[in-house]
Amino acid sequence: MNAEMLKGHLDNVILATLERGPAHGYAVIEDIRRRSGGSFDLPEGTVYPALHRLELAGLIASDWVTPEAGRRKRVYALTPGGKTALKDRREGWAEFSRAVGAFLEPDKPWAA
Amino acid sequence: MGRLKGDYAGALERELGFDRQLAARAREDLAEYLDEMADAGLDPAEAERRFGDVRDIARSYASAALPKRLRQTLGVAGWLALATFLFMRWRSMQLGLESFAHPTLLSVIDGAGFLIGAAALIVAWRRGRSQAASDMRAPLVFAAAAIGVSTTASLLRALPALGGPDGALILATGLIQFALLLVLIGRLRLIDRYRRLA
Repeated sequence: MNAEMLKGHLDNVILATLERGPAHGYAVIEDIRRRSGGSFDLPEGTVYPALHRLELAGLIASDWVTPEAGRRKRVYALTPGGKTALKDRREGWAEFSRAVGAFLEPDKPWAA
Repeated sequence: MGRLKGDYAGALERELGFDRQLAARAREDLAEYLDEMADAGLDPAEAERRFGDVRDIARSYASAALPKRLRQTLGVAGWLALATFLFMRWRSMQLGLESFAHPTLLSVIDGAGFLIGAAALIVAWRRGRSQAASDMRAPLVFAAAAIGVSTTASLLRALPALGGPDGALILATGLIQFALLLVLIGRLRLIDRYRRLA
């Protein structure tokens, strides 16, 4: 999948990643890479501005955390607004995916 | 790694130089990423390639910050409109300039300019609420121009009273309005920097 295709959905991917629990920026990148099986060919740096955008929109919040052994990291977590937004976007995506699938999947019968 | 981080961070900060807060945020994010890559033993040049093109990353930060900056600018415009309305009313009442039966050209410009400006602000506010934040700029510029014209007309109406007992207050209210207008123009010029990059 090329970067342009993913860009429009990056916010949703990040929200879904943070649904599993708070994570720092690089952990989000790693999780996206792992769960997508490396399919998302996106410059990894673009995840940070997307995190910033979601934070400014109030969908995620960040806090500095210093582990016992290690560097201080900015850790992101979903806000209640972010959880609601993710639920809405999931429903929207399911509907969109069904509609486009009706055209792109040749074996799928047309809805009556 | 140190030199790479310095070169790349420097380029990123130059691109975002118009917003020091945003540039600092980008630098922190980059530092975290490069530190993680260094821990993983990745080659610095490869880390830079994977992070992405500096200009593309700066563009993403600018477009991420733009909606909030536009909403902040709308706040400044709101204060300007409120100050304009209150001071305009005060000057009219204090100086006995109310004359709806016999409006002068300046009073018409004053009132109409304010109403047009307020309407433009409502359009900007509605666009901001409907997730079309980047479309807020045009009505904000229009509002600034209309309120600027209204303020000028309002002060011209009050000019003859400048030498009177209320002269100092008239001058003070006018200065406050023009100061707010200048702040708004400054913010709109800053918004253009974001838009050019984004």
